[in-house]
Amino acid sequence: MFNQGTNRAPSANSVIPFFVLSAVSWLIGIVFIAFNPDSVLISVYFNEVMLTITHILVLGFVTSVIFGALFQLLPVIFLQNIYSEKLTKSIFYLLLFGTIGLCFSFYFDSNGIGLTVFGSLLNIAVILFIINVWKTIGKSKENKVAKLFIKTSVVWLALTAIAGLLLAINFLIPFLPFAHLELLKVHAHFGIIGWFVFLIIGVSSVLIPMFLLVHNLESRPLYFAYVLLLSSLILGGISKVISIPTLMYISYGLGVLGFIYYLNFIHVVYKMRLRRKLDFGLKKTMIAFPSLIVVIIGSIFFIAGFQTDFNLSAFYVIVLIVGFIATLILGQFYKTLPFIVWLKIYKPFVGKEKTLLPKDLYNYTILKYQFYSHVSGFILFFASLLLNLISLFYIGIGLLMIGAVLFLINVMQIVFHQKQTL
Amino acid sequence: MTSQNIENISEMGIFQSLKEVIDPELYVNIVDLGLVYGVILTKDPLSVKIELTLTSKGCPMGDAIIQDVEQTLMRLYPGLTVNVELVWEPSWSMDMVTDEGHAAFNGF
Repeated sequence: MFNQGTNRAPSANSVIPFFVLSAVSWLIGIVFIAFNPDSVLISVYFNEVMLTITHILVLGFVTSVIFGALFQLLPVIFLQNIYSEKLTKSIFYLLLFGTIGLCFSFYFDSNGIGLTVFGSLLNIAVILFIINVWKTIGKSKENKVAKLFIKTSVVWLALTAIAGLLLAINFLIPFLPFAHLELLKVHAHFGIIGWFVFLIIGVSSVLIPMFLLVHNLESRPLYFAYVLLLSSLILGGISKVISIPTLMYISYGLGVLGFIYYLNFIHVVYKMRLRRKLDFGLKKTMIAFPSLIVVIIGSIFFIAGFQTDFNLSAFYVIVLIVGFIATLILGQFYKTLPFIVWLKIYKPFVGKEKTLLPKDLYNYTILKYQFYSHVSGFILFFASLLLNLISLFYIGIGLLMIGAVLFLINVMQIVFHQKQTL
Repeated sequence: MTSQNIENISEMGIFQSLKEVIDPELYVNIVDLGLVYGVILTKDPLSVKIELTLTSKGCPMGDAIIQDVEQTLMRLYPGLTVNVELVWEPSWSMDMVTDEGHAAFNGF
């Protein structure tokens, strides 16, 4: 039989734990924010609670689901066998214990030994992940733009992890010749832009047109976005280390242009889509993109020196994570996890008997309410940050929490689904 | 029923039978989606070649759809050898979707 890709993916049991960890982490992260409004609203940058929340979200929620989804999707996108299933399983445990240990270490007074030990575990996970990704993609000639973005993203992931470990060691034995806060900013931007955004652009350049049924797309805007974002990150990193403010302005300018090129690509895909009516999984995916406009505006205002009650650089980073990345992930969960579980349970019976469809594995009404509570929640949450309104903060985070609970219910329903006969 | 299927086997009958195969992402059968480009029946030995396309080359459900085609036809026509050939020319477009497909497509 012609192998279209899913037969080359690792077993469902080795990728599903990444999705579960992600869904649980999202809820824990939101609960932490709800119970620590002061840490978020007042001293947003460098405090133990904020560092804990950030790492629950970026490692437990985002990185976990990216790892799991990539191990499933790389064989499909690049028509290659997954390099190693054993590595896939090892990476999960390293990520799980590394994330839990790191977050505990942050929460309890940023314990230097804990940060270094668990940071090292995470670095090992990253090294194994990079080996698995690079060896899987190999010399595939499929989807060249996606390949470029994904391969680059894992390099940024490595740099992010190394910078993180240096910061952890610096807690134990201060050795950095410059202010560690500057390296923290580099660490954050490398991770969020270099790792998440590059990876998301690479994967979405294949998946969004595929789900919306769009063919023959011009890939040049994505190459422009690639060069612009890459230059932006490199210049931004240099500007922080050697303190040249002009370089930072250029870096922001290039970054904004890069985002605009990417958004334009997505806009073209959306306009050309043959699939006019979108289900709520896709609606949730698509509603993530307008939040990038808020990120762009927020970063322009920040670099222009606008003063607001809330630190604008923290604001655009929060919008990027909670508005764009999280919304996109919560939507794409419904386009990956039900299919992985469905293939595991029903593929042996396909054609031999009537089977459920992937959409039957979760409750669509719950998804609908999750969509409404999440979208209204993040809009009110962002408004509360800018206006510094505690009541609005609680309404926004409350709605996000309802969305996270509904999401977890659906995820568990999918994961524990038992075969049903029609 | 099954022996009758084999006795009355025809390309049109097989084509209609493929309406049982549903695209798991789009919830529309592959005939109304316009994914079946050709049905070529050979009676001696009894075999059929299905020329099939997918809505996109990297479709993650491609394997499942191909398996569904093979197993559905083998179930409906015991003894029939089924070969599925993936074809990409002409590339699939919305023009290939039937009226029933359009109705199902937008009814979700």
